[in-house]
Amino acid sequence: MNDGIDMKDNQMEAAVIYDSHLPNALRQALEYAGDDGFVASMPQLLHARANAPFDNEIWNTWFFTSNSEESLAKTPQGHRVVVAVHGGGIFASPERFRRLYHANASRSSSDGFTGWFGAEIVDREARDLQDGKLPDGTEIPVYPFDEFKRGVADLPRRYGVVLDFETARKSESGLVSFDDLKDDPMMIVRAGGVEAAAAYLDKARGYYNTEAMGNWHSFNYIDPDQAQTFVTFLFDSLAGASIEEPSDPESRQQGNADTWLTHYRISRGAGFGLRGDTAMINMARYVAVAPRDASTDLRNLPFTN
Amino acid sequence: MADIKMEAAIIFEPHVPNALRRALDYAGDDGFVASMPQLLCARANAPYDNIIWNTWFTSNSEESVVTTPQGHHVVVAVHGGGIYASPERFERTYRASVNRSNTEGFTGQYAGKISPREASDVLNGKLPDGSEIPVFLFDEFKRGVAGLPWRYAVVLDFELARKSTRGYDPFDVLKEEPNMIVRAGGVEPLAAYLDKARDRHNTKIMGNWHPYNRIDPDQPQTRIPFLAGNQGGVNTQDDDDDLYGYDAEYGMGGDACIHNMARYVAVAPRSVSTSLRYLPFES
Repeated sequence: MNDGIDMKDNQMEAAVIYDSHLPNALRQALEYAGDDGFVASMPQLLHARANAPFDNEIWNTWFFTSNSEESLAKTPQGHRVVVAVHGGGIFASPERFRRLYHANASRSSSDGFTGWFGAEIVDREARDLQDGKLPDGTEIPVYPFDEFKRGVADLPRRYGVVLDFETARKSESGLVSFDDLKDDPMMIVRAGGVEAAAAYLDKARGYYNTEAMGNWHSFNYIDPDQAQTFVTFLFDSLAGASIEEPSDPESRQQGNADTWLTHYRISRGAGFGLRGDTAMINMARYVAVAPRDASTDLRNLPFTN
Repeated sequence: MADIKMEAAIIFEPHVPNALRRALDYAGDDGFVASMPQLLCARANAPYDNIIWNTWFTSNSEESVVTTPQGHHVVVAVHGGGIYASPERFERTYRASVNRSNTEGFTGQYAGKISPREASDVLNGKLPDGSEIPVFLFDEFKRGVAGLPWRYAVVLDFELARKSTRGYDPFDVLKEEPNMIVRAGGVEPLAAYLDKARDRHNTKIMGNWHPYNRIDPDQPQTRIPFLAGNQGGVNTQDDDDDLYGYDAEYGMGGDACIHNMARYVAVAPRSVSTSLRYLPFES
């Protein structure tokens, strides 16, 4: 018993948290999650999809924001790497987003937007991240990609994966066949491992009934010397409607451009799949998961006789 | 579609119009934002550890003081959305000129001034959104109306409302109290609610509040009743005005400022099977 409330009915419940301003959505999501819950990372979103019927809203909402991020950084030896963090990394707090939004817009600013609306991160953040040290004081395990690809038992909710930048850059960005995606480094990192990626892709292939799915990154066109972070988004449209339409590749490319050029809007025609190239100033739809006591909730009370 | 059921959600915002807008969005065409009778019905059927007993709520009910064509002052209570059924109507009040002679805006005690047309229409069951609702006289309503709709009005003589006790009263007194009968949606639902409220802590009295002793009844005006509640229902029979708010369980308030924060309950059909609520997000 806790303050007179019977805790026996507690079970994990997920809620969709949407706000037209990303930091506000993240704040609400973190409040819902509380100390015992979490804001869903990309692997968690994909896991839920892999285990959900196709008429569930997890498949039929046109985008979700993940609590995952991908940062471009340099090692002390000068090698470029991509560090993916699931479960909250540098941008784990609404305040960090606000710092980005309120940064000096000068091109020489060290902590504002990049020209592609990624988030510039400072050297200390980039260095700490590689060591698994996060701004909130948390320390997380960071796995080299090769080790991660072989499989890590009992992955925690919050962890990092380090990937050689060239490997990430050569990962195909765009519409990629499901078979190729199963072996795609970025897809494996985003899904939380080889098996998780395969499970999701098999399910997604059945849902989309297509040969290819979107998997997008920005590493081919950004300045690789600028340390920066993007949050990953999971895109879709109601019942996958936009997969066949527009089918014109140029139209789809236009949608692709809309995603990052209109910096405060996610285009509904932006294709589908996983994106790591979406503007950091954006709307957001998180999924937060937390223990809830159904017996003390008013959801099912009778409000009429 | 077999698993669609009505589900309630709490909508809180520090600004009434924003809360009402979100509540109406949630309710959609097939749901509703809970009125005071509906909030009390839910409480009467809920265990005491349910959140419905353990925080305060804004009702989708309102109480207007108007003058009849014959010159009598009356109180018109509307449940389910009346003159202030829309966020825009609240915003019109909030943005009105603060000049004392303004016919809109706040009264000196922060009720919402309503126009003669609105007052006349609500007496006849005509609402600004074009809806027409049944209007019951209090005596008829007290005798009981079968098959009450979600949205309706009750007209009560102003003097009767004014003479209603204001403050803390024994539960047996409250069962006969006109304002309480109107707010609860009738004699029987009031008795059910009061019995349940009394038994929570075996208390003897409960609060019942109205502004009618201190307002100008010639000024048509509207207020929104709030339902008090706090964690555990402590201070249930405390009559210290200083304790109003989060720390006090003071019953039903009809004298709150119409410019306020709000916590509505919205109820709407939801499909359980297509919700992501219980999906596994981890292995």
